[in-house]
Amino acid sequence: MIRMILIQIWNERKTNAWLWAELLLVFVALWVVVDWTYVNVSTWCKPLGFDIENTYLVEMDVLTAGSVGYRSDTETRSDGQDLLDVLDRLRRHPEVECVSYSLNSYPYCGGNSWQYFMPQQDTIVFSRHVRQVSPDFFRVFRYENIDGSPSESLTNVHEWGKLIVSSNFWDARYPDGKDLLGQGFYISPDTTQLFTVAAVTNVVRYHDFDANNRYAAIANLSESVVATFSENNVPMLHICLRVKDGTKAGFAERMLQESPDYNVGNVYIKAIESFEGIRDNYLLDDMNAMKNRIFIMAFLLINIFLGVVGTFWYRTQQRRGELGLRMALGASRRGLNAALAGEGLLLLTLAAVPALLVCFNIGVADLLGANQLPWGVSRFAVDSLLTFALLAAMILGAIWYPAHQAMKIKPADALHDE
Amino acid sequence: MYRQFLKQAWHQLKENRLLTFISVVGTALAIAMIMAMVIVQRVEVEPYAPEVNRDRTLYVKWISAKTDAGGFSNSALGAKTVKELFARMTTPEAVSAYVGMESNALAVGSDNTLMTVKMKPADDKFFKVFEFSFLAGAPYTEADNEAGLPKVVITETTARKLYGTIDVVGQSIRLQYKDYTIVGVVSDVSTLASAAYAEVWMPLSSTGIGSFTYLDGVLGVLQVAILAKSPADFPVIREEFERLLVQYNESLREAEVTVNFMGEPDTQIVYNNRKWANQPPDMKAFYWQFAIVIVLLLLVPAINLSGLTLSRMRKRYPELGVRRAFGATRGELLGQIIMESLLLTLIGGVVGLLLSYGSLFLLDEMLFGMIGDVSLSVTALIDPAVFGIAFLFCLILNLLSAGIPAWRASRLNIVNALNA
Repeated sequence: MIRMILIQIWNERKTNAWLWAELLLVFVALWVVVDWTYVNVSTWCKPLGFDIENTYLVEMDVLTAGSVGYRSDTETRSDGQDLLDVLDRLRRHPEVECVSYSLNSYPYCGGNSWQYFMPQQDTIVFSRHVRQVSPDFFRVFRYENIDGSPSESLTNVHEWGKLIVSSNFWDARYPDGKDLLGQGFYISPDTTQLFTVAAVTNVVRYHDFDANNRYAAIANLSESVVATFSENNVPMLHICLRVKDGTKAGFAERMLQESPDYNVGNVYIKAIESFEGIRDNYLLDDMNAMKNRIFIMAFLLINIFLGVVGTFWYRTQQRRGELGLRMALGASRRGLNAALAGEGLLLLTLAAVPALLVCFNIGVADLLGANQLPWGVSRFAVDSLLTFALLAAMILGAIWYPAHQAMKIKPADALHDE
Repeated sequence: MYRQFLKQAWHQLKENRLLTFISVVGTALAIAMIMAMVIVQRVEVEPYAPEVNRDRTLYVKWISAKTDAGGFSNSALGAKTVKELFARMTTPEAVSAYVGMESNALAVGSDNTLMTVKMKPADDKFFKVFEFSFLAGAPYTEADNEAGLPKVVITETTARKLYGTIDVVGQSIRLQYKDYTIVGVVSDVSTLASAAYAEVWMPLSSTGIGSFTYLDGVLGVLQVAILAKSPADFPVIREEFERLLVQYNESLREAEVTVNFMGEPDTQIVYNNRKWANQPPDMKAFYWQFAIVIVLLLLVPAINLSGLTLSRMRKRYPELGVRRAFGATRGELLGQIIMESLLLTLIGGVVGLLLSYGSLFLLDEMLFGMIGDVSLSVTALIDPAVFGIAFLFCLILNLLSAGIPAWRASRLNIVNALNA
């Protein structure tokens, strides 16, 4: 059967060559797009490790001399103390569940801080993302303890001298992260202060297209530290809050109108943004790139569809006589359909073999990027199968109509034509 | 004779509706995709209000400072760098310094409603480099900026939201709990015009953020836009900049600091691609990627259409053979076939143009990923140049897809053709 189809393909080599060349080119191009889409979508689908629903970022600022309502009589109190009072007032808001402050740590925050960690038991040093957060930060973003207990369990153990780390914190040594609990680390180069791991969380990704951020949270911003903050530091602290589940929409707008009641001393609330908005903004470029590539993918597929319809239309028209004859001699419509479909798929396979060689080399040459998903046999296999399946579906869809048309002919008419 | 060609071609196309349909759709899609890509690309570099001078503007976003102690700091520019390096340039028409990233500010409206607006402190030259359309009033002056007077230019939407009218020049507005006087109202600015974008603009030193600096004013939060008299001045401006940079570094020697700009000042397209403070953008990769995608968008349909044309040709070999046997010249046959393809491509091209503009209107938000209610009018992008580019692509596509089969068909041996 296959041999016969091959002979057919060879006999039609002149038109098949165009289709083959197109399939080859499109296979490679589509494969690259499919790889990119597969890597991003599979990354996107992984759990984020945090929850931004019902969370808001509150931006604070400090009145300066010359501002309306500026108070110069507050010299005995620092702006940091006033800030803590604002946070207390926010906590008492009936719709608010919890409030946290942090530095460069909230989800979709452009900034980040890194430190070198050195295990107590070892001499190696590795660099990790450091989250400087208040204890309630874990409740605001609902970080997940790997032992399954609620995020309060993280809040309760977050104190100076302790670390809360992600399960991949030292994945080279502890792949599943469970045994990290109780391990001691120094923050290089200071070997006087030992930090012990008090809790391990699920992996917290930096954003939706990032695969494996490794972090440690430290409690270096106690309330007594914040209380010493001056007007320059206060605006840099990131205040995040979670409202209770089921809070009516429009919290940010309502809260902003009420905000003067929450201001203390010279510290005032200047903006409240929902984290959904912050995320959309942050991911804008990535989402646009995604859309662009999906457009290109659709374009390639439609072209293949059109090309195959066109080529096979002409071909089945040409072969109506032959098809009729075969039907008269007892071939079933189904069998003939299968033969035509087989021809298309075999042609695709013939194009796929050299195309996959090219694709494999693109992968090996590291042109695709391996940050989100390392290059390997499984990635190559998934990409190749997906590409093949997409193209095969297009080809089968495109052959069906011309074949169906051609086979409507009555065997007698076909023989008559002959 | 051409009328004859045209008539024959039209007849041929009607004869084989499916193939005609496929060819038209294939061409149309290719044109639409390329058009969409060109337009999206153009939005990145084409001038539109208020960034009307994009073609003759150079930008400086980041500065890299190396201290003798061995540390690097990559950051936006400080006031001292602006004053002692950029403000001393004489070849440009204007040099403006402004806060690079717009930030949130709290505004209080007439009935005490609170609103968060995007603010961008900027100097007075800002309104020379970027040409805002003033609906009322005028920008603040150089003296206002020097003195850091609380004057502000706001957008139409901000005015309407806070006061319900744009007739607000001279009124007071409370921003960040500081009272400003509104001196001008301008049309809204698209978020795509990232250098100019904000909702309120005020003198640099009238705000805390505008005057924020560190490392003795070398680093800070400012960005610079240099308006050249014409793009031809770019080399001279860069030369002057390099010369002044040497002097500036000379003056920083005492502070044990050396600065460099990693290839800046940037033209618009490089500026768009300069995302990180610590490394220059990889423009080569950017251009390559764009070129590969365009070639792909062109090549795939071209192969497609060639295959189709060839199919159609083969069906007509007997006809062509007969015509040659009766004395038709190669040129005539070739002309006929090219005319057919031209007609197809033209129809496809027109459909594609309509399709691309239609989809741009429909997918405006999807393609440009707009945030907020400020949207860029796509009609502004419809101009002869884009049509020209699209039709050039039409032509290439046409020649690629029709030329080869036509040439082959015309070289066909008469006897073989008759036999086919």
